[in-house]
Amino acid sequence: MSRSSRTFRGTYFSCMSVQSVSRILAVAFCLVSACTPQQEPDQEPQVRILELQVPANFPEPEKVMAGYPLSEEGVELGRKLFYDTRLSGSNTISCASCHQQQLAFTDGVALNKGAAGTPLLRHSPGLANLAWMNGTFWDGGAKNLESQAFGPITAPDEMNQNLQELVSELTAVPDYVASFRLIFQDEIKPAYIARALAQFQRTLISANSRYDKYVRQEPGGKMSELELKGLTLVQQKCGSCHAGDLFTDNGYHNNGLDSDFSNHSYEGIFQGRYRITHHPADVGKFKTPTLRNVLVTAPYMHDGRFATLEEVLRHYSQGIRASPTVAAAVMQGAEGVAGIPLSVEEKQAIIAFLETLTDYEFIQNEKFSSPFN
Amino acid sequence: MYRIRRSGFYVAMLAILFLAACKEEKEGPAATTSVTVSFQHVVGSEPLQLDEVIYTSPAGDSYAVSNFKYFVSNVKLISSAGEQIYVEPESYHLIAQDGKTSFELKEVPAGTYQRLELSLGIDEELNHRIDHLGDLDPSNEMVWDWDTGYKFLTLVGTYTGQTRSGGLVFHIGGDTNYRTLALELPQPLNPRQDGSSQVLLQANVNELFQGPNLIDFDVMNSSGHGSGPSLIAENYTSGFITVLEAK
Repeated sequence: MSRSSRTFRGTYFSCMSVQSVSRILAVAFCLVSACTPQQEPDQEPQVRILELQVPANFPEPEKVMAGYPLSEEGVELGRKLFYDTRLSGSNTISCASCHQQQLAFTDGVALNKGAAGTPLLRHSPGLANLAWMNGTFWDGGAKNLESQAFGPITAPDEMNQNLQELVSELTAVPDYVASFRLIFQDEIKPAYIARALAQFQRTLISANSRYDKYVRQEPGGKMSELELKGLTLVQQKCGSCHAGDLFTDNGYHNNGLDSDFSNHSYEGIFQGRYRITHHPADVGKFKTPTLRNVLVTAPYMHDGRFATLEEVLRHYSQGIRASPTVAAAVMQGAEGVAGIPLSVEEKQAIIAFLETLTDYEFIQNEKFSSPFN
Repeated sequence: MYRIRRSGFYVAMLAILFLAACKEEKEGPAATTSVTVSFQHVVGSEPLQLDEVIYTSPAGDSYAVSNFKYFVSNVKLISSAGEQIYVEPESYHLIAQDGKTSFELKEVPAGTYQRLELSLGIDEELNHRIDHLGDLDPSNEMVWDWDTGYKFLTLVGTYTGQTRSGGLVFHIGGDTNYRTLALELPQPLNPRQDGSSQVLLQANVNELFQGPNLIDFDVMNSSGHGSGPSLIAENYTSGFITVLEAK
């Protein structure tokens, strides 16, 4: 079975014992291999398997599904596709149009315009440490990276590409045909396009900010007293959602942006996680974005409503709107009063600390840059 | 002498196995055969024709169908006492009025089968990602990409009801609407060696809109993504697919 095949349950043998199945399989294997013409092992080019380097201060990443190994070639193919405008119907938009490396893979605007020329309904999220994320989009609607890519590629208001047309456009490029053949042992198919993109995206690891060097006690890891005060405040007051060294719990919370979620247009896009789970408890909940690189990822929130970090902190201290699903974490005032009490000095310390989360190696790493430049 | 004879026997057996494995299937000693499963689409007692014909729904609305597709998966043949079960491997079929309407169950062991089991939709294991191949390829326009999963059944058309008229859009999916049907065959199926055995099934579009839930298009003309699909799913578990013939 090629590594690209789907994993199916081996139900055909379900009525037999495991032992007899394994015997049959062993015999079958011998017979099949007896029929296959013998090949020199190094005759067919092989991909170079790649292990994700887990930063010392990070937890273990989400398990990649069996049969989906990362390879140098797969990541490189994914990178090409990420920067290729063929992925859009008009051949003018690539993934990188809304996910720009120098902005930690965001786009600097509240609501970007896609193929339809109308503002999208959600802000482009940053792409970092996706290998630790078990659901993407602001509401977690895409269950994995391999399934996510089809959303923006085919959405009429985003990249507006037809998948069959995309396959034929890529098939017209011999280099692509050869790469897909090498990596997936097959011709170009939509599933492989998404898997290659996912391989590249899993390598987008941001873990070399000044803060990281500080916690790992590496050279260049000096932090000022103000920054350290900010770190303590973030851990105390923001750490239940912006948790650990990923600075996100990858969970979904209602952070008090709105209190009225009755607008169910666009298949519930303004209702947050509820649109996916249909649990009333998930109304108004959106994914916690990481605080990493937050200085270069303005504007903020799922709809980009806040232009600056000062506005964000003003929201958390004074602007929380209570509703039945609002997170307890943003109701830290005495006797459950809305908001997280923060003094002017505390806000300054927090912003000073957040600056130490900018990972210049990440936003300048040539391995993540366009291969077409 | 005995020893030699025995090892000779093993060598001969291995050679036979080896040759059998390398030969084309039909030339070998065929203990298995194939069975064709086909689908016929009707609305009530009339054959389904896309766009052209106006039908009457169980609730009395007029409607036309422009697109009708559904997934049939995890197909099994089960013998009368249940002691023999054939399970089709990689069993995912997109059946479409304007596309594939039959598939072949391969390498079905000889036997007497009394029941056909199939599921409507895609099981959880595969439904939680859409980067699949074949009939599950996401270019088949049977996926949700903003809420990962497959549309198990799609019916699109237009209707004229008692009070309103407009488009019909039923996209049914979601793990809870994955349903398994056990269909008794009208007569036992003994798959023949020439591979001409068939099971002919009928899917009646009108049954999507009744039994147990009568769907009035004035009230419900699209499935939405919440509880609406379950009403249709309950209906497709009961009377939507019937066996016309097994031979």
